[in-house]
Amino acid sequence: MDPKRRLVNYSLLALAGTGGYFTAGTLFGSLEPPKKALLEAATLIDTTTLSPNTVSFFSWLKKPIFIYKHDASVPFDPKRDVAIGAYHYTIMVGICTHLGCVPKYEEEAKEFVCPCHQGYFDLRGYALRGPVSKPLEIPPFDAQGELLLIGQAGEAYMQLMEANG
Amino acid sequence: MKWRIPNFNLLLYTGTIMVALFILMVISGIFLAMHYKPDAALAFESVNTIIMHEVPYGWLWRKIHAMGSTLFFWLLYIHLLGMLYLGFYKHGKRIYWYNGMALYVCFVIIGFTGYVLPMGQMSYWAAQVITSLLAYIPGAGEDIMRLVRGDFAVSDVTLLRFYVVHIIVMPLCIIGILLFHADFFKWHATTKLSFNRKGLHVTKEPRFSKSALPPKEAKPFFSNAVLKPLLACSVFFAFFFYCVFFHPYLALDPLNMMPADPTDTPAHIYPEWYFLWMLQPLKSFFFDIGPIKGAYVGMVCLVVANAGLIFLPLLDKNPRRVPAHERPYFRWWFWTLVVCLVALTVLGKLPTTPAGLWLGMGFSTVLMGLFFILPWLSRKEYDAKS
Repeated sequence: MDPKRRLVNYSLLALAGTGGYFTAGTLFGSLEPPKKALLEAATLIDTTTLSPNTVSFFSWLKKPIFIYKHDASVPFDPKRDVAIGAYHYTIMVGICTHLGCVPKYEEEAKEFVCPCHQGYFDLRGYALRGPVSKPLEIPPFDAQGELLLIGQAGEAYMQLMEANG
Repeated sequence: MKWRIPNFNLLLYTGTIMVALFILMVISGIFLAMHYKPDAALAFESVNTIIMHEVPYGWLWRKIHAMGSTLFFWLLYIHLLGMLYLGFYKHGKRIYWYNGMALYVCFVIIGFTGYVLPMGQMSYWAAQVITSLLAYIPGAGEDIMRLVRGDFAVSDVTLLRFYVVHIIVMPLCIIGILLFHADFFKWHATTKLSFNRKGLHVTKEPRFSKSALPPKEAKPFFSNAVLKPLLACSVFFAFFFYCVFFHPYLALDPLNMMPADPTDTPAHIYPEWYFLWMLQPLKSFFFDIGPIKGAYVGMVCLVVANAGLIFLPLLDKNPRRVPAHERPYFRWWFWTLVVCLVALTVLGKLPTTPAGLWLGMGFSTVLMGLFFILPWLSRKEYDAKS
C-alpha cells in the first residue's frame, strides 16, 4: 500500500479505537452503582446497648452484620475477637461463604445455620460442617471508645487481618 | 487533491443514517430503561433526578435519546419528502413506499408514547389531548379511548401500557418492517409459493417486472456500500453530538421540567415540533358552518393528509418515474405541499391569534385540497406528454 494512504488509515484506526475505548468506558460507567449507594457505607453502633453473651443484628451496605458480644467467661480468640471496654466482640458479615444466603441464628444450639444448603457456623463464624469451608467474613471496622464504626478499617481490624495471615 | 466525491448525494443516505440513529436510540434507550420507573408517582423523579443527576452518564443517555428523537423526525421528513420528490414510489418501488409509511406510523406512535414517559406537564397533557382525539372516531370512539387509556383519564395504567408500547411493541414492529424496507428480505424476484389442488405449487415468476429499468453497471462494493454510508453517518453524527453537547435543550422542553398536575393545564400547550403540522388543522377550523362542526373538519383534514401520503402511489396517475423538477405540474404540487407543512408547523408554534387561525385554515384547506386534485393533475400532466 502507498505509505501516505497507510498513514491515513492507521491514524483513522487509532482515532476510531480511542473513540471506541471511551464509548465502552461510558457504557460500563453507567452500569456502576449510583453514588447514593455509598450513603450506607458506614454503620455506627453503640456497643454499650448490646446485651452480652448473645448475637445482635445490624445492616451495613445492605448486608446483614452479626455481632456476638461475650464477657470473660468465654475464652478470647485473637483470630476473631476484638476487645472493647470490658467485653469481647466478634463482628461478622452475615452472608454464608458458600453461596451468599443469610444464615439463621439457632438459639439452643448456639449456631448459625444457613437455610439454603445447611452450612453450619459457630458463634465466632467458624465453618463447622455442611458445604462451607471458609469462616464468615469480618467487615472493616473501627473501634472508637465504646462506639463501633463498621465500614472503616481501624487498628483492631488490621491486627485481626494480620492474625489471620 | 480531489475533494468531490462522485455520485454522492446526502439525500440518498438519509435512510442509512436513520438506521444508525435508530441503533443509537435502542442503545441509549436500554440504558435509560435500566433506571426509569414506569409509575405515575415515581416516573418524574426517576427521569429528572435519578437519571439526570445520580446515574453515571445518565444525563448523556437522556440527551442523546431526546436529541436523537428530534433529529430522527427531521431526517424522516427529509427522507419522505425526498423520495416523494424523486418519484421513488413507482415501478416496483411502490412496496417500499407502503413499508415506509407503516414505519412512519410506528415512529409517530413511538415518539408520542415516549414523550409521555417523563410524566412532566407537557407529557401529561399531550397524552390527555391525543387520547381525547380518539373519541372522535365515528362509532366506537369513546370505547377506543378508554381501551387506550386503560382508565377514565390518563393515569398510572396508561403510563405503564405506553411504556410497554414504547420499549417493546413498537421497536419490534419497526425492526420487522425495516428489514423489508431496507431490502433485507427481497420479495420481488423470488420464488412464489402457492397452493393448488395438487398441493404446494412453486413458480419462478418474479413478483413484478423490473424490465423497465436499464441494467445497472457494477460498482466496487467497499467504496460504494461501506465507505460512502460511513462518510454520511460520520458527517451526521458530528452534527448530532455537537447538538447533544452544546444545545441539548433544543430537544428538552422546559415546561416538561414541571411534574404532571392533572388539575392544571398549562396556558400554552403544544406538541413536539414534528407533530405541529398535524395539530394546527385541529385548531384552525374554529367555527361551525350550519350542521358541519369545525372540529370535525379539522379531524378530516388530519385524516386526509395522512391517508393521502399513505396512498400516494394510487393518487399519482403519471406512470413516469422522473424527479419533480422534470414534471411541470407536480413540481408545483410538491412545493405547495412543503410550504403548507412548514407554514402549519410555524403557526402551530406561535401563540393563537385570529390572523393565525385564518392563515392556518387557509393552509389546512390547501393541504387537504392537494390530495384531492393530485389524480386529476398527474393525469393531465401525463396526457400533456411532458
